[in-house]
Amino acid sequence: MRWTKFLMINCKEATLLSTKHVGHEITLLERLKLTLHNSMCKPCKYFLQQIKLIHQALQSKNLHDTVHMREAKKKEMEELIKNNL
Amino acid sequence: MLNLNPEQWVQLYADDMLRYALFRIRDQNVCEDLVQDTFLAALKGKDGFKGNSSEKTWLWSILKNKIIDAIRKQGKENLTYDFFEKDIIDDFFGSDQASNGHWKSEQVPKESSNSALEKLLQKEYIQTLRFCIAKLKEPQRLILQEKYFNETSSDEICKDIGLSKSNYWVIMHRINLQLRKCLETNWFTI
Repeated sequence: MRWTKFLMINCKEATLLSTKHVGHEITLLERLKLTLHNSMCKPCKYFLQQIKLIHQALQSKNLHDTVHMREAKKKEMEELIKNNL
Repeated sequence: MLNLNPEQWVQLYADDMLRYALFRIRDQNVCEDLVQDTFLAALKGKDGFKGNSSEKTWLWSILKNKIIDAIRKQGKENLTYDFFEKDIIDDFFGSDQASNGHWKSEQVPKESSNSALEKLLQKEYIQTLRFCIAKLKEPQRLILQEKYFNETSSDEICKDIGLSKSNYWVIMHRINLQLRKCLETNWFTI
């Protein structure tokens, strides 16, 4: 049937649409194509599931908060600033 | 000095500036030095601070330039957006007629256990994600930095760096393919 062919996409296109989906910028038609593809393709289903989580992890405070400047370096900088005031 | 409090800079901004720089430059020592250079440059140029922007915005604009200079000096990475270079998307999907657009067999995403997925969000494990971000190239890291650190909208990012919306999604697509693969290799299936 012609309409199914129109809605069919390959994995390369499906993963691009998953990317748009996670970024909340997917159109209705694209979403239909993605849902149809993922209902038949497990790897692409896993892909979407996993990048959703990656998106969450990228937004999480934990990703950033675990990095700190070394205390010694901070002290050194405070001294430098004082001396250059 | 107009609304500037240099004595508090280190306490107020040093960690955030370091985290910001680490998105683009992998070496923490180099990043710490960049933050220091930024403070010194700011002190030198403090008379030029007119108070049109906040102290924070002003310091960040200096840091941004320091980062770009440092990347240029490293010389290895292209700061321009070359869409003609060999596309990494072709590493993931077949391009001949029979396999057109389908996962290459060694790249097919595997199912991940729920517990592995939940762990990704925890503090101890999120290092893996940072490791995977560090392996990305420019301009992918720039876009991640803008999107997830500065929380800039996709439209603004495109405007700021002169990128079309479709190229923005191509880059995001590449980021997701690479991050997911890297995490799967180092994480999901453990």
